[in-house]
Amino acid sequence: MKVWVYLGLGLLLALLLPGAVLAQRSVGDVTADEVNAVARDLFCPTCESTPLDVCPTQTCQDWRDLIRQQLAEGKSKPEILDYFAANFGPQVLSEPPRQGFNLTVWVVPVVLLLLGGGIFSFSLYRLKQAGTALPAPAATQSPPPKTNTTLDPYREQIERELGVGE
Amino acid sequence: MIADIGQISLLIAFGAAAYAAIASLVGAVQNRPAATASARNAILVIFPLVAVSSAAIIYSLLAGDFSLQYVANVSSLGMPTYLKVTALWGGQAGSLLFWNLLLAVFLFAAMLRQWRGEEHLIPLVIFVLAVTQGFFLLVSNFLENPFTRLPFIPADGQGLNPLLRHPGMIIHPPMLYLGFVSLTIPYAFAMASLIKGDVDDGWIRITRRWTLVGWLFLSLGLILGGRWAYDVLGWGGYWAWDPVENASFMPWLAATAFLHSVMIQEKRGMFRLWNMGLIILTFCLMIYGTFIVRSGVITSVHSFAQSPIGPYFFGFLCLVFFGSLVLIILRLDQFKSSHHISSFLSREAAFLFNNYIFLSILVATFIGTTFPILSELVTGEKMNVGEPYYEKVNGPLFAALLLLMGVAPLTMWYRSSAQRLQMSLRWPALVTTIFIAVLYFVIPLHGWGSPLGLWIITFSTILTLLEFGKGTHARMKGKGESVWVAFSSLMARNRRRYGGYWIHLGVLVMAFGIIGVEFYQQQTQIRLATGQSLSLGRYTMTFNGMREYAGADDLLITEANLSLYDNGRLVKTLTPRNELYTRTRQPMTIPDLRATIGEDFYVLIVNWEGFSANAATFRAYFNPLINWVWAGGFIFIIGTLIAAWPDPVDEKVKAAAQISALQPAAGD
Amino acid sequence: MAEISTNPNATTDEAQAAADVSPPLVTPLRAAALVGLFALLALLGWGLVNSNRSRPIEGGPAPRFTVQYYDGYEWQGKTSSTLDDFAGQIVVLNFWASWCVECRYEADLLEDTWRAYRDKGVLFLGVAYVDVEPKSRGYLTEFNVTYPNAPDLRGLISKAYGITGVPETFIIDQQGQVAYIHIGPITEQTLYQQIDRLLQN
Repeated sequence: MKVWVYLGLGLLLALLLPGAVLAQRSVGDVTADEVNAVARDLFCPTCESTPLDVCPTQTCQDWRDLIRQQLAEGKSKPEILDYFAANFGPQVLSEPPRQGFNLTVWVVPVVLLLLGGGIFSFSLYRLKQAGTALPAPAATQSPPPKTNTTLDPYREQIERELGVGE
Repeated sequence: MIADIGQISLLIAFGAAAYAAIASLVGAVQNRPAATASARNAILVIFPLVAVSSAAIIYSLLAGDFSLQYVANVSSLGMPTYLKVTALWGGQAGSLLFWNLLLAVFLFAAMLRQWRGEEHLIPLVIFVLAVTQGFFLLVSNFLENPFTRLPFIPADGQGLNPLLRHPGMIIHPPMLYLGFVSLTIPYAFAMASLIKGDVDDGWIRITRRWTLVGWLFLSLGLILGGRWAYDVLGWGGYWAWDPVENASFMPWLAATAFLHSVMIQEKRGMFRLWNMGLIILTFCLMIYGTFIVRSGVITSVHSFAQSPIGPYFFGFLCLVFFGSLVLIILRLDQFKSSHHISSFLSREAAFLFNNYIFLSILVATFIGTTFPILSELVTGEKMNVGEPYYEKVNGPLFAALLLLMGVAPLTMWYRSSAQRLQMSLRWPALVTTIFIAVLYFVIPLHGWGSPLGLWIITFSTILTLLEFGKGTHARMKGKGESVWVAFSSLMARNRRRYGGYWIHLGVLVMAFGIIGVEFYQQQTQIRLATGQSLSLGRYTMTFNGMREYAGADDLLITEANLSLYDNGRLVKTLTPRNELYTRTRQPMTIPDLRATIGEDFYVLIVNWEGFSANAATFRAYFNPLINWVWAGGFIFIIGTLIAAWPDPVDEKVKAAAQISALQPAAGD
Repeated sequence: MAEISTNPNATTDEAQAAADVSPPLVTPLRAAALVGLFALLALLGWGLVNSNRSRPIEGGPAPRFTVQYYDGYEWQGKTSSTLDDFAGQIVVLNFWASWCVECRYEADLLEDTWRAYRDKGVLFLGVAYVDVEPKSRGYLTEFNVTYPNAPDLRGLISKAYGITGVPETFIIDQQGQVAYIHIGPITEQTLYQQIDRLLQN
């Protein structure tokens, strides 16, 4: 049993070490595109509702430099986003973290969607019930199943609705 | 002097609105036509009065009367004349005055009409209109007065916000305002019907075109806003789900749901309560939108700064909302519609489903927009909700809407046969599937989102085009007309129906473009020294150098010269530039682009390191199909114009409808 | 045309007769919906009032906060403190940022004044507003700042004080009341005058 644990740990280390070495890059090697890929999910702190990747202010420039530095240190995008949320508050994230009260922004639309779907189906059902309780008007409305030769019944409907046949 | 005239005239306008509200109420309650006529005259007076005020502001802007705070804030001596005029709506106080002017124009026009057949509603209509106009005039007079004087006279003004100097931004706000104010008319008629307890279709029939015109302007405003963002904001996009954008999008959603469900009422007499609710919702959302944008509760790129008017707008919103709600509840039993649906596979059900999706999008957008306020209340931190949320929640809903858009016109009123529906859908589905399969390997498409989206769009487009084909064919067969005559008379005789299909086509074309940009946009940012190049898609762009020159109106322009090669062939010299308004130190980034049917190559300067360094950082976007968004928008507007265009035939039909409305048995 | 138009109404009347019993005006569902909408609007209203909430006023209590100092800029060797820890002292709370140009005008003044008053019961506390740590440290080194400094973690302090921008300075008296608020770079005369006034009390 223990052997497996050690083996597993060894394997993990073997996998992680070269990764860690590789992850250390010089700041200059990080491309602007990589920085923007992270910055896209952050908001400019001083001008609201502007994504960080397109914000021209000095503050945003500093933030992007920090992202660049952290990328060079080998940090992943989620780690960097966490860092910014922890230091500058979660309001800098363009997507609210899915925890605590923030879940409401995700849950409420879904709940309302289902609720609306329920009400929609129910009212449709009730309207349908009202319809079946009565003599169906559709009997006269939909054309009787006559011997359809070439006439497309749909076209017939169009003709009727457009009043072409008047 | 001129400003004083404007101020006095604005004050009298408020008095006229207040008088109209009281007089119309007297006219309604005591049933005194003289009072109503007097109220009507008072409303007619508001427009000229507000026009005088607006003219006074425009005069002050042109003359550079910087003793007025508003003039000093939004204009400067060096500004070109047309900008001085459009500065009327370049700031909070002025745009509120402008809003008042547009509202007054619509009220004026509404009062000049006879409203035959619905005269009994007029006193209350005047009342609702007068209260609305009165509120806005109150704000203009006492809270955000454009004639407020500065304690000193500055030598020059601050100038218009550079972001607002783009032609798109000059036309976009008036369009939105027009949309908003023209929706006030149907709301007033709805409320009058509600108060009267006369909740049949009169108000809908009589205000149908007003609604459509309002909707046209709202749509136009939204599309122009997108174009403005694309040209000026410099992020290669056209829509960011910004709170301010949402503020105008939400009333549009409610109005669109209304325009659809109203057809059930006209055809079947059903959903009266629902439609009443939708028009109220539209109006409330319009006030809510104005409230968000202007109070600064949710700060956003182009919100006006924090302003004292917030609580007043909120109060008005509550008044409108609860007033309408209480009225609806009081009249609830009158709405009892005993109609029914014969089949789930019917036009009625399809419209209802359409409403369900539209309202779902509305709710999701509302929650996203309101969440910053909500989260600040609960957690103390103002949480932002950005694009990812809206894309995830609204994306699938839009897809469902597009599918419905293609299929719904095939359903029939009362009941359609599933078998027949299946038959009409089978071939288009097969053709679409083959087409998408080919695209999947040829283009190639990736993921599952864009193939699915493109499938839906292609499918619905085929179905919509078939609608045109079937209609034309029916006329050709029935009347023996040639293809062209049949097609054009089809359009002319059935404007609403085929205008609607044009609108659908426009939306589909826009959706096609949106899929292209959303799923296949490429972008890169790179530092280039003179002579270096970047590659993006098929394009290569070489940086030739920078130049700096003074532009008109205290501008310092830094312009890059870039050669764009398409597959190695020089196609265009691009000159993106940075503009600096030297006096106010406001920078602007103006992108440049090469547009083709297939895509845009869009580039902007991120950072220029000066002549000595001879290097600059550029950001380039490869935006596939972006121009389809604008083309679709154009088709959309044409379709709306077709649907809304008044014609003599229609007037005759309307007259006939009014006569037949007197007979209880008239249905269709 | 005619056959369609007569249809719906024929059935309408029958149904009208069938469902002529009018239901109560207010049902639980409607009431719930109404209450829900009312709650939403009330919440919005509250949010509005809240967002327009006034900043601390001179003479009012200073909002409490917790700071976690930058390494090397601690107060009495502690890595973090709350406002209460400073009770009995005058606190000059200064919001700044490395990207802020106007902050540079007052940086030397603040440091000099701190050195002059540090033994007289006056504490200077710098709070860096939306600033990245390497840049902040660069700024602190550039101006030889020695008084305690901390980042505005999660933006909570600047929010509590409702700052309108940087620089902004709040002088808090020995009892934890805001004695003076200054927007923009502070001048030597004002700073000394305000501190001396409090020291005399």
